[in-house]
Amino acid sequence: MARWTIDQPTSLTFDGVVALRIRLVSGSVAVLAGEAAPRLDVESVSGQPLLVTHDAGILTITYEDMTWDGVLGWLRPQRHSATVTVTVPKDCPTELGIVNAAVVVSGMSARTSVKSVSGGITMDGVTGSIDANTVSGDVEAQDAGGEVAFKTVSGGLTIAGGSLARLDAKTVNGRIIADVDLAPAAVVQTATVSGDVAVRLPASASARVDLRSASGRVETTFDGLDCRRKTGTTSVAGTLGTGDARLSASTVSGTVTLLRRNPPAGQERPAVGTEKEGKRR
Amino acid sequence: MSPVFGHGRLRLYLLKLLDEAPRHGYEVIRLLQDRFMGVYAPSPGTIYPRLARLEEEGLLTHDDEDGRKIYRITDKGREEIHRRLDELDDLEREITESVSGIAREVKEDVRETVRSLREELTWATREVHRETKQSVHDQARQTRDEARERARRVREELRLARSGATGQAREEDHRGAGQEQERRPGDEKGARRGWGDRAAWEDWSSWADWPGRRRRPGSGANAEFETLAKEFGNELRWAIRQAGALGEGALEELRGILEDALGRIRSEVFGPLKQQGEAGSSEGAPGDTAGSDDGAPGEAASGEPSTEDARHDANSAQESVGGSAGPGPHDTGDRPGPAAGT
Repeated sequence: MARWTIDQPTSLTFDGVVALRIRLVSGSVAVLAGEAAPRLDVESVSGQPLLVTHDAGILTITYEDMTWDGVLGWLRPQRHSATVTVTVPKDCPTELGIVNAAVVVSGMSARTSVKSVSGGITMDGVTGSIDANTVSGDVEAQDAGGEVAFKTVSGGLTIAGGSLARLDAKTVNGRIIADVDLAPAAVVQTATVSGDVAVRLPASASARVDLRSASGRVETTFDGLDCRRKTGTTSVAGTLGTGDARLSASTVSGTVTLLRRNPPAGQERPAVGTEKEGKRR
Repeated sequence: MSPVFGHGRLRLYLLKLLDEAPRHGYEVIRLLQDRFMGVYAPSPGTIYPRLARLEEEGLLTHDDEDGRKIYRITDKGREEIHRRLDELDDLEREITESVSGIAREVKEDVRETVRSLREELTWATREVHRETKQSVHDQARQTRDEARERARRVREELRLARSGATGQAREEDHRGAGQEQERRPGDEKGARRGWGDRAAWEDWSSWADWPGRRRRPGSGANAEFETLAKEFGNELRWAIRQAGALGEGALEELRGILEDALGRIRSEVFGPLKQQGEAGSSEGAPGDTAGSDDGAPGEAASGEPSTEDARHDANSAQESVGGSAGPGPHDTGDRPGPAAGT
């Protein structure tokens, strides 16, 4: 087992990383997928030194005084701050625990799990499975894929582009915005108390739709869905196309809007994505 | 991306990469790409000439392995690295910064996309709401317009029905008047059932064909005449009510006066007109007119003078005066039926 205590800007390379675990308080952490040797760049450290271990392929970045279980202890006022960039193979499962650091994850395709109190989470081209839990941190994702699970109190979720096999989002008053394609047999479920939900699907989407709001509005630009207003529930339900996927949204007082993306707008985003991808790889 | 490698830096970095291990050109390119997360992607056209130059300078050498050149550093090359060690550290730091710069760039990029998406969808949501509201509004308006149209039609029908009913009501009134006339002879039952030639009144509406006559108000002299007749009836009734009970003598006297007046009206006002269709008019018309005008007093006199009855009869009499006063004078020639029946 290799072990480093880092109290100044440093770069480390590793011969192989099969899993990544990071616990940080504040500052920022970036996890980037790269084909080169796994690498850790610590740009700055203040307060406590970082403890880095590399054991049986598991790369762990944390603080000395921080146990895996003592998450609540992190909430004590402290000055731990670090700016860390980790480059690992894209199929490396990643687990991040953050208090208020900003998280950037790019290009990972395995399981990515992020727990954050108030730090924002930014994801670019992350596929596989994403599991994000925050109290008030927002999740902003671009070109997401695979399965996304998101739970928050007041954080918002925005997914710009990508093809989802599953989206399970629960918020209290966080807003959910998704502009995505649906993989065949995808399941998209959102539940909010007062958060608004806006989902935009391609005009060719094929899904069984069930959107409900107790006291908010439920509206759609898709034709052929059944809009009902009753005391206690407003709903939009029906089937788009052959109804392969499932889309459901429920909210107490939020507004639910299902928008239709017309082809020209749909072609624009992938083009941007591929250009960016080409630049980065 | 700003130039990652300043003057001579790429050369230094190439030496550094080959100092780590002997590599072939393609591997060098890939390592550079990975090191810079794809932000800096040197082309083979950049790298191979550089490697060739370094070899010319004696800093590198190469072995051929399976037709590929494997470059390795020479002692002279290592010397150069040692000489520029500080520079190499700087370069390493810069590259690290540019790597964390990638993270920043990714973040900015995503944030930008997300922001524009959020704005777009917020706008779209608002737009949808506006349209939905608009369509609901339109629907409501359409419903309202339809309701109005229906109401208008109903009103129209009602109006038509009412004008038809008015005709019928007049007819009824006449019948009432006729009954009173009938009752006077005493055969109450016969009178009620009778007035059998009601059929004669069926085409009451044909009275409207009277040249110049209009049912609708505002038809000039006719309307005025109607009013006049009505007022006369009212005043007459008022006078009778003022006088209290109407004795048999008074009734006779009244009839005489009214017949006189009617006679005068016939001769003096309609004199010239009368000449044309004279035949039998003197018999039928007075009877008819007197009958309807007399109805109320007759009833009041013969029946119990209870106020309720009187009012009722007065009302019907008023109606009958209004209704019959018009046709009365004209009735003379062609409709002697009802009058003769009495």
